[in-house]
Amino acid sequence: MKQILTTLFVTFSMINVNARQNAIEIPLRFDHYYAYEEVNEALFKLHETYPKLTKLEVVGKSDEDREIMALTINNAKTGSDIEKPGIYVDGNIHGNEIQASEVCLYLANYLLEKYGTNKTVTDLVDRISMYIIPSVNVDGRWHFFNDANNPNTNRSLRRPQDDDNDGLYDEDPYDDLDGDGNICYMRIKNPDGKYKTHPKDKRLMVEIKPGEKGEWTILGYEGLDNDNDERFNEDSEGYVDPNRNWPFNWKPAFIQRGAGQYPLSGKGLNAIAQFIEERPNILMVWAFHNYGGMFLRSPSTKEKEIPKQDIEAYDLLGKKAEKMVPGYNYMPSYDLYPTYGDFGEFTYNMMGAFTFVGELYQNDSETFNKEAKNPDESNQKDYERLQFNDYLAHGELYKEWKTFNHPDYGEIEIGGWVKMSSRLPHPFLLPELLHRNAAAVIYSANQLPEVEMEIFENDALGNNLYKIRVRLRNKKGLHTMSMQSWQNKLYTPDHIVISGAKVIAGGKINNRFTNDVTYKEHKPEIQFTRVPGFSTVEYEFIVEGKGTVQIDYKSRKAKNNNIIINLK
Amino acid sequence: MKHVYKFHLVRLLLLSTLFFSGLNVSAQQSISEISKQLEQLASNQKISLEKLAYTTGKHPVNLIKFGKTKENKPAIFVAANLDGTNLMATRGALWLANFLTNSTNSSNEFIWYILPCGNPDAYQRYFENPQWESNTNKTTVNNDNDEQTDEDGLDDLNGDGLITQMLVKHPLGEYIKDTADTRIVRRAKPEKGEKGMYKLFSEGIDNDGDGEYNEDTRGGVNINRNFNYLYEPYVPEHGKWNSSEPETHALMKFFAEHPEIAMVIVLDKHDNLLFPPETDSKNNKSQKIKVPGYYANRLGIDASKVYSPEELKKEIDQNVEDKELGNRVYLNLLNSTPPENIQSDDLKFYKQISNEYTQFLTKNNLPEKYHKLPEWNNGSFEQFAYFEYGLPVFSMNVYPFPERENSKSKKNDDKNNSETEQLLAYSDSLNVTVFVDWETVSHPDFDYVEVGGLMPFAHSIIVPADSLETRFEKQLPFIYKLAEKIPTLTTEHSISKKSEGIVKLEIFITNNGALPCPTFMGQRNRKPAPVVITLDNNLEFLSGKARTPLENIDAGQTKKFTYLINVKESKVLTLYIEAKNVIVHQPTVKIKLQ
Repeated sequence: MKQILTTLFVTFSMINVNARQNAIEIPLRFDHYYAYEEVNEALFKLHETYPKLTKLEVVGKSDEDREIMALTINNAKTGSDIEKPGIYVDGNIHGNEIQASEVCLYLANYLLEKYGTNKTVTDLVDRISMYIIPSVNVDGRWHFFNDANNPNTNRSLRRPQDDDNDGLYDEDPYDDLDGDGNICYMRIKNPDGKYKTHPKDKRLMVEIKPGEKGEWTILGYEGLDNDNDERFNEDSEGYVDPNRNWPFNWKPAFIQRGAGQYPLSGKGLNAIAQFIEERPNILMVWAFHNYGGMFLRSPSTKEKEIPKQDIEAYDLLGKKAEKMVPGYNYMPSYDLYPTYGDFGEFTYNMMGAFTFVGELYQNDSETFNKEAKNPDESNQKDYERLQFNDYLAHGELYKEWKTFNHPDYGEIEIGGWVKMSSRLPHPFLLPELLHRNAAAVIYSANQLPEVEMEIFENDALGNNLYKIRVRLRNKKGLHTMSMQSWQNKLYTPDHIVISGAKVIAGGKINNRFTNDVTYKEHKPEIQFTRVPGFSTVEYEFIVEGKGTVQIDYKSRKAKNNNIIINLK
Repeated sequence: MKHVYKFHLVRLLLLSTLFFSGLNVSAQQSISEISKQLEQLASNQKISLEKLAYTTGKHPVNLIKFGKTKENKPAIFVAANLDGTNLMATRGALWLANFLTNSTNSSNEFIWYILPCGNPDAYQRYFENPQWESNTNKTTVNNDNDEQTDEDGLDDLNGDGLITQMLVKHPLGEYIKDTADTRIVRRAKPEKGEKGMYKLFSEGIDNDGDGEYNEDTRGGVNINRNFNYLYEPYVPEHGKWNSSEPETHALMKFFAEHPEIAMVIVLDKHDNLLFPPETDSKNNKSQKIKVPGYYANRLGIDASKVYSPEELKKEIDQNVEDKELGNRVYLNLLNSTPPENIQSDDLKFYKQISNEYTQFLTKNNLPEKYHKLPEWNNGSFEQFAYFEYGLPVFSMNVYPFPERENSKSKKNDDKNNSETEQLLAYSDSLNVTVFVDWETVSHPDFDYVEVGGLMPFAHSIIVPADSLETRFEKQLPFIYKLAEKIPTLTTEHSISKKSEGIVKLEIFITNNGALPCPTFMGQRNRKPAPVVITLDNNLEFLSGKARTPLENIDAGQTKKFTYLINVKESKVLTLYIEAKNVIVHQPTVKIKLQ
């Protein structure tokens, strides 16, 4: 009971620090972090304020039965969401990576607030549809806020696993020994230890050089040996990594840690997969994580690079994003480390959507020197970050070391970086991070294909025969269909269909000046195609008939189009 | 201490014939007929029926359960007919269910899960008109990726109610009829002066006018290609992604929720009892392993060198004192590459059991030599159970064909043709018809067309009805023999006093089963629930712990576990062997200290 009371008290005081429980009002404020319930409340308020531009729905429920919410932004006056090119944005698939949800909320709030006054935003909202799931791992978010944690813990889905293979499940978690709501570090005085006190700041430790006298041994994260197996904190919640549980290139847990029992075993993930599948118009996906400052594209393993046409499309967006968010690096996911069963691999390879993983925040920006960046050397960097903690965060990011009587180790000290630090910007740094990343999303949304169709030749050949030439022009940077989807026959490609006359021949124009046309032998009235970014494709039909013919452009992801012409 | 359970074959056979009134094995039945009978069967107290899922064709995926999961016994999972077209496999599973129902004591040691048909949609095509054979369920698939779905299916051109094949005379034809047996159609061999005459299609017309024949039929996904392990994406028949189908998903979920499953027996077209896996199987690549620096430094191994698994094992054995740790590190390094073949350490028991099976068949007056059967497919249920769950997986064909004498198939390099030849020769010898003779039909797209070829489900209808149950009675009881092979643990202990108040407790665990606990693959993937030696939690251990997972124990091996315990007063402690998927004789033992 005492422990429960302590936890409650700590939760309350912690929320007071960084996640104020203010009444949520529109426009949303971004000077704090939103608890799980507050994220939903914010979505509700956005929908309530902008009912004509939004739709709010429950995607499904999590493993612990919490609701996962999605906000759709679409101007119904310009068409239903499904007929326009779609962009999907989510965050917080890892429970501890919470500012990802704030990016989603910021993005929604910004687009809705600026609609009608800012031309770029208005045109965008009229032309495309956007699906936003701010918090994917809702259980993780809830537990991150409400339980004791450190910046790295609580990534998992709430699906118990026997991590240490002893037949027991989740039986040795971290323990908040001092009851402050943080899982900090434990250290013990030890002349044989490998660390000594930092000469400039007694809170920090540095590794000793050979021959030097040691002072400290670092015992790891705060905790007990709950299951008496002489190991500490080795079977915490899960571990099923929600970003290794997706059905593309999924590998079982002995190859890919955190894979889960089988793909989409996570209840909430299964619901999200269905949500995305039901919106085949989605061509662009952003999934926000923390941290490190990266924009990652497919592939996630080195086994096979993706088609060069798709890399070009990614480059267009990624290189721009690097400039919009200074310090972030755009690169293939495998360059970070190879992974199997990622969400982004699923959406790119199975849903045909260009996907970026945004790794938010670089704690290099926690500076206390004249440069805008911290030094690379880690001791020096930690020193600077502590100064930042002292002078800019007024001690909120770091817990001073305090003695504690540990049942196994005896007298130890507990201290170090707290939960709401290291991977999360201090709230005063938050708005810029949110705006820059949201702007990168907006740029990519703006590059969703916009295809114009024109008839550039309509010639009578005699005997009721006509030659009709059609051009599709994509005014934007993203292909109407990724090369990966085209090559692997993922779904019915874009096609041009001509109706109203007998089609004698039809095919793709390779060179309109030399009349080089590749005719399709069967069913010439349907021509399968894709329109690359900033490009045109041209087709020719020889038809026999009179009056009018209709030419349709049909695309799963770009907007359909049609023209009716008179044969003349 | 050898486990006393023996299978009384004769007695059980007798019982099964005397009280036989259960599932109908003697006739081919539809899924709904089978389901009805299973529901009746499940009124028996010890039997229950679970509908794991409903297929996209709206058929139930039935699972019969003998015994209750809560009983804390190991379970044998028998999965039949995931390919859907092996009708006899389903009948074999039903026969087995009858056998279990009627046997009084044989199933007490185990829980039995029996899946009579893992692919009901494909199975049910036997009852459709026209009848056609396909391994796919009824999930809508746009096979040719065009603007329509299921628009170019098969057509029964000659109206015989069967979908067979179609020969089209064509200048670009590559096929000819074999002169020795004109039923057989094969590729012409230009190097022998032969010129192709025909194009070969399945029976049908080009319904959608795209120049392709029957390229987008109704359905579907091949269940036995839709499992995760070594799944091959971007093939319409493999599903939109791995585990996309209700049948597959339900089985994966069931396995995840049932750690008591100790063995998998698959009744289908494969047979690794007759043809045990070999090291030089097609998938075996020699793995190259580099040891990362942090391991290498700790273990005293050269980080710059590239090792084969054998070299690495030797190196670790020489350098690492703690054998368990060494083994863990070895397995971790091995796992840098997903395995694609049955592990060489596991081949031993496959080979041994295969020999036993052959002897068993001989003893029951069944032929010894059989026509070679295909290996597991990628993305199959068998691979899922072996690689992901580390379970011993035995495939048995319930009615394999004897090998042909002076087989022509060796000369024939075309696999399909050798299969056809085999079937024709066997059907001729039995005087059974499984072939529709080639006959001309009129066709809207071509001038000259012949329709004919093997009948759908030829592999199943070839089986003489009167010999089926006799065969089952002679062959399928080997499944019990397999079940008996799962690890069976016994314990012994000794106590000695080291000094006043300090007691040394030694526990010896022996695996009397014929299988290792777990398989080598199970050691690699750490998926089988561990066997844990547990002692009272409130003891004061000077050495040893209240819970000690048994890493692995080979067939016939004995392992020793030592504990030093500070005992202040006389005390009785409880030794309990916690296990999910092995047999433990006397799992609880009271031990008196001092």
